[in-house]
Amino acid sequence: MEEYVGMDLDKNAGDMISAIIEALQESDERVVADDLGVFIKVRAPGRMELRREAVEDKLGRVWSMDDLQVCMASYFGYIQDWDEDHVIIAWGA
Amino acid sequence: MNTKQKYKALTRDLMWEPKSVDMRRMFPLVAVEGIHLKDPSRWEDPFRMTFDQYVRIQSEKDHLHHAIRSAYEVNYGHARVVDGRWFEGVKAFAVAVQPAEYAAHRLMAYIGRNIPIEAIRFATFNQAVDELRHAQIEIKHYADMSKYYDGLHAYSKTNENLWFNTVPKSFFDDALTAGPFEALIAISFSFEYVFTNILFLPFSSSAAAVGDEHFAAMGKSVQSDESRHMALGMAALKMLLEEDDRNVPIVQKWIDKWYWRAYRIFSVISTLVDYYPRIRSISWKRAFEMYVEEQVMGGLFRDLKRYGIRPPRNFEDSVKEKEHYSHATMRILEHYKHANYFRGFTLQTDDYEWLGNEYPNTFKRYYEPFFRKMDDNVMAVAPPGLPAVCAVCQIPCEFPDPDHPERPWTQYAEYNDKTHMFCSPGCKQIFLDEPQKYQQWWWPAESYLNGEFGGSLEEMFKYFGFAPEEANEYYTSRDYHRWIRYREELGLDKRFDPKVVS
Repeated sequence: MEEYVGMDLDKNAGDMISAIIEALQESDERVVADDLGVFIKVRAPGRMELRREAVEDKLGRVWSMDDLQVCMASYFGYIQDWDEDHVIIAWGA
Repeated sequence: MNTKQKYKALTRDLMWEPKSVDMRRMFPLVAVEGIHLKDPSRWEDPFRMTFDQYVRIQSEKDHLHHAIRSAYEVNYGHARVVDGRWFEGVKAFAVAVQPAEYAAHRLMAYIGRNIPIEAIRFATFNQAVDELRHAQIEIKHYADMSKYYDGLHAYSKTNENLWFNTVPKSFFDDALTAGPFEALIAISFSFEYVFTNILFLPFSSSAAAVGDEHFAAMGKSVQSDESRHMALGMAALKMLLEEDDRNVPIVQKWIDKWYWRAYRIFSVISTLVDYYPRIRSISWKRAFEMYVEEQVMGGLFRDLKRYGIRPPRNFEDSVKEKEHYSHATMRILEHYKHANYFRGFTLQTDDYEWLGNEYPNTFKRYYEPFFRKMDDNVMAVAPPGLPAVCAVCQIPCEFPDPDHPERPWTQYAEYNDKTHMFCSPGCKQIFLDEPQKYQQWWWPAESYLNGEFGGSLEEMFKYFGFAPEEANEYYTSRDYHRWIRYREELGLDKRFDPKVVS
């Protein structure tokens, strides 16, 4: 079994969270989202990549990867890369 | 400039080689722990944070939080929670967590000062500022509560002098008196990466469920910084393991020690998850399984095997204890509720039901009888005086052996002609590894008898910064009656029957 990686996202961020989840699920159908009260846990086996363009596409406006820092309450896995275009979380990095 | 170039220009190029002072004199602690470093400059903060970016993101977080705080305060949010006993839990949080935030601020400054690696220095600088922010927004909540309720009116004094505050103090003093790399593993890895999720995520969900919007917002604002803190812990851990094989056994020793240290300080948190909120989002047991067993042990430690790192020494003990932890700790808090400013409370029918359902193997058999007896006042549960506490974690030695829950887990060791006692095998092992460090541990009962708290019980309470009426049981307390009166004033006690209107 491959170990899961993922993030806990703060629901207060509203449509941003929905856009992030949709963007993640579009690029990888194994991404699962669980509602845990004030936050949503998204997870995927082994690796997860969030692309800025995909989030902007869902939101219909310009979006900065900095905003992820305001709503990402926690994560699990190693942050393999983080720049203005994408974030990759994975094990075994 | 893109993120990588900006990070390099604004963060990574800030270190320089001193010409007039010897590097080893400038950073005297870097070699004392036996850590070997080859080329630590290749290590990066995975968030690639720059200072301007940090200020912008943090001010946004503060605006968000203070907007919710103002709304909560002007709308008398305190009177609208589902049950006022929630605030006793917030007071327990004020004992266990808030001093830790402030101590973590000092600790991060200490680590950054003593480790000459710019990625770590800048990340610890950010974290030092974060921890101060956490301490402050938490105190803001107590300031509002203090207008209406007991216990927090001399907060700085209580924080300094209350016997129970030695629990977080001993933890952070232990880390502050360790070398900088050990301190980094202690806080950034063991505390932040392994455990803080349980602190802020389930507890914030409970806060939202009971209607304390301010606490929920505060918890989430704090937690939003934790991702960065966790990243620092992970980066530091990997750096130490990859720089030199000789670091591996040293890091393993620190993981063994600090896993148990961090786990024990979370005993109070387990009661904040399972007991204080009238509506819970998740049980301690389930939160422990999700965050510690699945995410940390199932994910991270499986990955760390390739470096020769195994799970922490007493990890199995914490798994065995998960069905006992919150109950045994609540029993301890109940025992000494006359000497703490956060009250205990009579469990209600729905509490018994929830605890029984969530803990089918343990609650009814081992703990319910104790709480029932207290409800009936059959047993006098307040031991006269202050308890015998563990020489390492400073929590009263009243945990049951999870293999034989009817027996205490208390352990003893002789050192320098003195008998020392411990709450568990985990704490005993920590003591035996560094007996010189712990032999002068502070025992509140002994200090009371020595007159450190004054000459009488009255003086002791004065020293602690609160009065005896501010302690004890919640539903018979003046705070409960106040809460009811505030609700009456606001008309929150009214029920409108739709049949009458139509």
